[in-house]
Amino acid sequence: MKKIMVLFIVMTYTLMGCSDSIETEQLGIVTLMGVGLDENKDITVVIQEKLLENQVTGTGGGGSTTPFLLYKGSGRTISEALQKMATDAHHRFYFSHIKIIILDEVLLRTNGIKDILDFYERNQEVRLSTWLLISPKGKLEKIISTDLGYNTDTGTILEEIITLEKNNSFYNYNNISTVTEILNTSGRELFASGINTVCKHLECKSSDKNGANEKFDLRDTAVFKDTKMIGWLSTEERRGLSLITGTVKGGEMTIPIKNKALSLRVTKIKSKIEPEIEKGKVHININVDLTSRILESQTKLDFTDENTIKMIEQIQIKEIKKDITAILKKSRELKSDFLGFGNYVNMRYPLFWRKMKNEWYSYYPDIKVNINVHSKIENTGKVHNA
Amino acid sequence: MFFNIKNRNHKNKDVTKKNSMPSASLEVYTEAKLEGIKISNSIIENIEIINKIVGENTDLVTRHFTLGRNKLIPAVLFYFDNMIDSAHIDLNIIQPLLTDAYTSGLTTGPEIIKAIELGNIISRGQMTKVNEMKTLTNGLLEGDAVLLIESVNEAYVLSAKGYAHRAVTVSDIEPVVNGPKDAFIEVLSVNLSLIRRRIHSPNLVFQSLKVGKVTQTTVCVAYIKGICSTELVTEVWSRISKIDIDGILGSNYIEEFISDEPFSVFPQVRNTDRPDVASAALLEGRVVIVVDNTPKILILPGEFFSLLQSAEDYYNRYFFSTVIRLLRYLAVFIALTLPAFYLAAANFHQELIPTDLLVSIISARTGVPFPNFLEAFLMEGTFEILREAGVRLPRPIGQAVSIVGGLVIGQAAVQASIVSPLMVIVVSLTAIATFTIPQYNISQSIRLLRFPLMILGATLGLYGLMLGLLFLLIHLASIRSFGTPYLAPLSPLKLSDLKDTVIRAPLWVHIKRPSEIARNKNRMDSNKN
Repeated sequence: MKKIMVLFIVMTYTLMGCSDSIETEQLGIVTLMGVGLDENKDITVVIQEKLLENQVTGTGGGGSTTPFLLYKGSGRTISEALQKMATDAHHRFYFSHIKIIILDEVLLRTNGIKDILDFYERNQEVRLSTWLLISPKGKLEKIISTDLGYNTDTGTILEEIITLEKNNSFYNYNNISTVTEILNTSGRELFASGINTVCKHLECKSSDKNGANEKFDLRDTAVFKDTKMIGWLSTEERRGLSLITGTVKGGEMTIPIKNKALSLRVTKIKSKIEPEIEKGKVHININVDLTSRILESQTKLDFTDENTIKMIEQIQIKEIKKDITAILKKSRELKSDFLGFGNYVNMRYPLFWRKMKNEWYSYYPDIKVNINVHSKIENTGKVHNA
Repeated sequence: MFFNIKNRNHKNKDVTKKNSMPSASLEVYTEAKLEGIKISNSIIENIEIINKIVGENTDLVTRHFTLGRNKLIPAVLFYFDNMIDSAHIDLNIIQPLLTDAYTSGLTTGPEIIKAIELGNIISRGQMTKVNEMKTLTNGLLEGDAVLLIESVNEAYVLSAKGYAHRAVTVSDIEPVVNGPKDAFIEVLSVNLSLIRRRIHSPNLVFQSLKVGKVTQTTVCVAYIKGICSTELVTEVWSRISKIDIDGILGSNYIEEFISDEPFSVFPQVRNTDRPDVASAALLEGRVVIVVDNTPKILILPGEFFSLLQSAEDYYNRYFFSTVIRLLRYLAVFIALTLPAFYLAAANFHQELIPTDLLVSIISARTGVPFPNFLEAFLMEGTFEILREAGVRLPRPIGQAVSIVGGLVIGQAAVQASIVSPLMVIVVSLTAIATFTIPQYNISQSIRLLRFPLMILGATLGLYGLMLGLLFLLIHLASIRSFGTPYLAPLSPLKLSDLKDTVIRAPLWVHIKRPSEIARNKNRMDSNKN
């Protein structure tokens, strides 16, 4: 028994042991990483390292003027770029606390996303729950180097925006694990949300270079075909996409009523996509169930009247159908099945799918789609009859 | 003048003679040697023997007197000064013999002897006749007075114990807010009375034996017949009687001798200085050992969870007690693992720490010259030194330790960047957590085990910490305390016993006694004995 104990102790220390140990102060906490392409078609990597409180000006003095440090490097792969970067960093970059990964539009349009994702999946430190955002052409470095003046790093701010917005809006946000999953699903194309900077104020002065007058905008959605990005969606199309996929929890939508506006808050979305085969032809049924409440009304409608509520419901359904038709149109135009119809066919009729998988896009624009929307307004939010 | 000087010289000579070592007999009286000596008829012979045995002691008082006005019979009273209550000796022994006997009409010596023989005259409660020199000396040494009379070949051992002792005061070590406050003291008889006062049962048994070849300390085994299993009592008795030591100066002496696993870090005997805790243990079917000259009594068997219970748990309402009990278990876990977990997370698993906390750890540690591991050991070590200093120092100086400790360790060390503030928080949280453990002996074990776990955490990360904890668990599950599994009732699992382990169920739910310990398991339905 004693011999076994001794052997056990020796084994634990020789086979693994202290080599993995690293003192906390040697770490450089990376919270944001951006990947793009440079002029030589090499991969550029920009990372943001979170600075400690006592290193930022104001508390310690003499430190950096931004709450983060920027490192930039390029190479044929991300790893090579990071390796080049590490030579001028006094810390060991630590990727476990990356909040956001921003990928450049140009990179995704030319190289595709698969090669880039490989690094994040293979790396032990990067979490699969890291959010993935796409920056429009040429804006990557600007976004990463923008200091919003909140005295904290951009990665943390973006993460906070996403956690707040994803339960509160019609916008879709995907993390690495979802993106990987979609990429590996047969009959489904990828969509991912984008990031942009917009003016904080109504008018942007070009003289403000520090970015204090800018803010981030996380509304855009990029769509892919195979692994390459092919376009952006408009506002209506984005809402349609969210409603069909049912991945969001709800948000605000404003509908026109008698030349005035009425705001609704969608509280529950339940959507179902059902493929059906009839006489060797596929058609898709989309069922969307909505529950909403009235947020704000400019009209003088009597909400105690059942017919009024029914009317509002009908208008909402019309609006929603418009959104869904818009996204369907876009999807057909781009010949990209990011709505995942193919996947549903695969799940329902696997044998059928196997036959038509390769010619899916020749059928795709002509597939008949039935849209059924059902709306229910539960709460009028009425204080008194006005 | 001359005379005076001469006289003084003379006196000086006398003084030097007085201070010289008095001739003591070098004879050593062992038990065996005393065994054979009988008390003889002749008082002079008896006095000679007693003087030979204990005569050279200054605190031995020898009082000669005669009995009767006619037919005088010489008698002698022996006792050790300050071991007896002199009022008892004067009023109940000497006065009746010297004066009261005559007022009742007894005038001759033989008459008085006959009256004593019948139990009259001497009004002291405890009086035994002995005819062996061994029992006589034992009584004498325990604080009894011994009366010897010419031509009687027996001696009267009269209990007149009255030595100075501490009063029964509030328990210092296990204080409670609600509930009784009295605590055991150093006198065995007082301690027994404190238990007897709580359990008025004819089945409560105190049985004593002498342990310690030289000290002859009385060790009392207490249990309740019918509730406590007889096997347990026999086992305890046999283990105590096997103890071979010259002296017992505290109950821990006994504990060390009778523990099941002497090499385990964990104590397997519960000790307390509260009579209510002792009584509760007796009612659970445990055995209580009361040792003379110790305020700490032992409770057997002492399994792990009983060591984490406080008397207060039963005096507060059960909702609160349950919460406090769970909180205490959490505190035990914190005390054991927090520094180790901190080291493991900071050295190996930085991804486990929330980003903002990691940032503040790093900023707190910038400028600290030592690695995490050394820093932790430095602080934990300093804290243990401070605590030891606080305990050892006389009370008036004790405050200085807390001032120096608080200022130097808490503030100056942080300002001087020797340690990081976070480490101070970890160490102080650990320290405070250990203070919640009601039993001092188990809190010592946990304090000690913290260090090996810290080494494991700092060298092997969480893997090492888990290894250490698993090893501890295996050890805990494998040991027993007087036949009771140490982790009872969790392992082996006894669901009905969890009501007083994990939680503190209301008292009316405690229908059964702990099943691993008691023989009679029914606490409530007395018909089902």
